[in-house]
Amino acid sequence: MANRKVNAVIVGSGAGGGVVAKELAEAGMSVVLLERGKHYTMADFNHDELKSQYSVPPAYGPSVFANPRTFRYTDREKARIVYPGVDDIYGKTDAAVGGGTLAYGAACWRYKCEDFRMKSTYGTIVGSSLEDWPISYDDLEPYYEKIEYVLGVSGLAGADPFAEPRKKPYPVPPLPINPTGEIVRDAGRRLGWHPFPPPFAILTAPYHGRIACVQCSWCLAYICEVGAKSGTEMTVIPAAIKTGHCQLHDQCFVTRILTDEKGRATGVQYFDREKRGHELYADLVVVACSATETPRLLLNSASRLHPRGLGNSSDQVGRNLNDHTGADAFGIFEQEIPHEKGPGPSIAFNDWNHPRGGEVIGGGYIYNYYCTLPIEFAGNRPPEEPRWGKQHKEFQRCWFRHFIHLGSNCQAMPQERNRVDLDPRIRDAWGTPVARITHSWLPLDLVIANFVMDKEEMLLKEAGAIRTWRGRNGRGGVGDHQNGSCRMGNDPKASVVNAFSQSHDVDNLFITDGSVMVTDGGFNPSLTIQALAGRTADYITKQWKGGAWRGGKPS
Amino acid sequence: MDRRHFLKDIAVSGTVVWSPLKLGASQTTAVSRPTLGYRFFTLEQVVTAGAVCEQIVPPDDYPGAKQAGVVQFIDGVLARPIGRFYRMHYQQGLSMINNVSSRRHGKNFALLRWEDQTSILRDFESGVGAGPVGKKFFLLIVRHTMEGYYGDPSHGGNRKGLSWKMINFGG
Repeated sequence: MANRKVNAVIVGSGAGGGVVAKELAEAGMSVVLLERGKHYTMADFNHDELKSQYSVPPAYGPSVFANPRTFRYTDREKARIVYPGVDDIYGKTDAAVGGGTLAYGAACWRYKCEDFRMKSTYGTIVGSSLEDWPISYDDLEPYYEKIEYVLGVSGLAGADPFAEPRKKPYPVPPLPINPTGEIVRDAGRRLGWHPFPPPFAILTAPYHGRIACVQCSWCLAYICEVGAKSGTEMTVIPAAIKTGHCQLHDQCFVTRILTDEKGRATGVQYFDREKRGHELYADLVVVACSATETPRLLLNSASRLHPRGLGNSSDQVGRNLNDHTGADAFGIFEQEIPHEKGPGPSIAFNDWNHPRGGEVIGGGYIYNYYCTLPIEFAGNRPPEEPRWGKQHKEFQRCWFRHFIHLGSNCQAMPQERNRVDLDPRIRDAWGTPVARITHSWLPLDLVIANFVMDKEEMLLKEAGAIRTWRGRNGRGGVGDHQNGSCRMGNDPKASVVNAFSQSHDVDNLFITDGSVMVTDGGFNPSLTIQALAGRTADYITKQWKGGAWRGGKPS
Repeated sequence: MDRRHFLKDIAVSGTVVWSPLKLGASQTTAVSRPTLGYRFFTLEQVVTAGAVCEQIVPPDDYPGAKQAGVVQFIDGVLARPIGRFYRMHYQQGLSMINNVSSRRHGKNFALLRWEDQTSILRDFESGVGAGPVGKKFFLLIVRHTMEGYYGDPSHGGNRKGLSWKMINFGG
């Protein structure tokens, strides 16, 4: 491929990159979408329990050979090298076309008003860089609605009494309630809570040429075999390609954003699947590589005019790296509870997500979790139970079909010291310094998670559980919901991008993944990332039509 | 004689020279691989891994890990290109287990009494037996054994889907 020039190059095809590709291409801009991972299709999935993102190694990348990172809890330690699939602390986000949305659980939430106003709602938190977002729920609402209709989100408007107002119903009905859902729904009602069917980017009726979910047990961490799960690879990316203006190149790893003598972005340098180097020039560069890899790419793109990394005059690139504390609880029951009817979650509660009584800071929603396949159940044991051996096997035999798992995504407080920077020693297969992650929780984060786990155990006991236990927590490290590392804000000294996710320093550089989120919200972030990306794309196409950013190097 | 009984016999009779230092790599390849059909494991590793996996999922009225094909499953994982990444962990980890076993009991791990095997693996799990490296290996082989025993039969483990029958899983 010869070096050439396009209107926009987008790095990363996950929740953030896919939407921008579609919107820009539909506006007639020429777009190249670069993805480091492979392009999988439905045909790559055949109900195989081991083709899971939770397998060792993970089924959908990143490659263990090419993508080490280093990790430490605090900057007083030496970082140790970690690999995907070998160390849980690496995180489980897929590296593939579709990114994290390829094999995700597809929970598809709008955030609540308070999620955008955490500092105003809860005040200053010691040790945390908690802030308000520069935008509100109302700013994002039209983009939530738009992407919900692109994806075909299933849900029931008005069922959640704590949800923010919405103008239109969900495009398709909610997933049917399964047996575990019925049990927790009834128990929740007895406790005075408010059960409702949660929203998913999983089709429950034919939509835009795709068919509905067949309710198998292989959902979270698997590719949907019928294509009912609405990842970007099934939705916005095909739409972008269909315009004829967007080219998708998989297995292309971007090592550097190129800049000119004025410090503006001119394109990217990347290696293709044959490890051949290329330079691709563009009027605009959009970075959407995840909250770990985006800051790494910016820091690896330092130059004379951007000595601390591209777009990093604030020294905020890579800081405030955050994730949810997963707060899980498990219960076993005397009666048999079939739980193979997928995808699993069918009832949620928002009673402990910004509860009105102020019992907790933030908190999170609670829901019955995805179908538990035998391998995953083999890893689920009360802390006092052995993880292997005769007793382990007996537990598996007795309780596999007597089990309910509740999950949550609890807010954690952002901290400046939790960050991504470049490891001074370790380089990846392309010779590029790897991301060094420094991450540990505040004690408050665990207080919040414990609060939610208390509620989950309360719910399980009310439902009749004869034994309950909690998930492991507090180890640190970021995973699927990583966010915050290039936060948006109005002050260029305290944030990386403005309210349209445009770099404060470089006017033709945009960031459209979870990096820009100021706080993590009490929900799975994929819909919010896509709505933010849609808002950014809207801004870009309007400016473009007005003549902005054109010019630069000739093709 | 099928593979399982052959392995059982050599494990009981102990006629194989166990130490990798004594058994040259080329000899291992020539003797064990064509006979047993393993693509990565040496004969010694097959026997040790089998004994470890059998401790992780022991037999009762349903088969243990060995009979369910877990060792063949792990061998398959290690023989894949991606398996390159884990091979060192297995080579190192299995020989550490035999080293600890020799030190404590003067015998290879596979020849120990069941209780002595359990006690060594408990020490590996807690990090006492062979430090963080041994602990990491043990967690890896536990995870792989669970994948092999409870996962899809198409990968060589969970023969005939027996573990799914055991827990009444539709598969």
